[in-house]
Amino acid sequence: MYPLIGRSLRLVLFIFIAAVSMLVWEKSFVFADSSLNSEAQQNDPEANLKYLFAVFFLVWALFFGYILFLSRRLKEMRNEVTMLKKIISEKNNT
Amino acid sequence: MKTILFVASFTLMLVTVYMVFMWVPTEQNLGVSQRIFYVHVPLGWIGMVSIFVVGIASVIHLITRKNLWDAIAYSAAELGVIFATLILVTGAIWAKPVWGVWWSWDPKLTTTLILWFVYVGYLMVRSFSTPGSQGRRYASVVALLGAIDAPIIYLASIWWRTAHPNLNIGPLAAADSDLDGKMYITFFVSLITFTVFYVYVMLERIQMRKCEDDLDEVHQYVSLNW
Repeated sequence: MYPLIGRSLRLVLFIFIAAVSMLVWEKSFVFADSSLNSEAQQNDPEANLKYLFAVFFLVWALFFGYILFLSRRLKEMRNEVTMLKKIISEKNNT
Repeated sequence: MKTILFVASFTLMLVTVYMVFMWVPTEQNLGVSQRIFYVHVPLGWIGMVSIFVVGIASVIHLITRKNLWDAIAYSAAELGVIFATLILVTGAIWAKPVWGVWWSWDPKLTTTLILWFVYVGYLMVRSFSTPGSQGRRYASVVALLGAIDAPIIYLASIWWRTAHPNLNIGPLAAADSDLDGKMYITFFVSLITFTVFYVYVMLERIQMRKCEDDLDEVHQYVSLNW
């Protein structure tokens, strides 16, 4: 009934794992590499468009992920209510 | 009420996306990456609001011991983790094209990371404590300690030398801001959008939290008595 790792903590763990995966995927997260910002990139005003899209993608992904988490939790609660109703009706019948 | 908030937040989100991508002019020095500002700063605002909500609700819960205030604190902390994560991630993505690094131990970044750990600490205390009022009280104390971090984050760019620009929001916002008219309008529309969305999700989460508490009590009753 009371799992060691709570529901919210599972969400936090998911976020943590995602952050660590990002670190592994992109090594320059830890080690600064200013050479990536070439002069050509700086002169083109739309060169950094991918960063803007990345921000919007992540924000929306996390929002939808959280809403999905809430809807799954709601489903779990409905199942629990059904189970409790079943237990109570069984007890009343005996 | 919640339906209105849902429709309002959805509509405002569409308006904000249109304004950020199509309407607002591109900043000359930072280029298109400056548009991240319209997402990053409102997220920061919500992250700060959340820790204040957690702190105030925790104080009231400690005084009154009413479960409603605990539900508010818990819901705000859970949302706080989401928003604090987004502040850090969007900040890192913005830092890369502007500063050339994903992360630096800038005072504002460091204090925001501390805020993230406070939120996680709060939820960990709640998850690992036994059911009942004791865990709630311990978590309330963690929330109170965390609330001290909020004004430090806000004032970090004044107190220490930081790569962050001047304050754009709050009582100490710089009067001589670099933003032009359209940029200001887009920024405030985005700020309102995220605030409305936050209020909507908070109301939903509080209601669900109360149901979770009720269900846990019924579970306990059934397991003890039957």
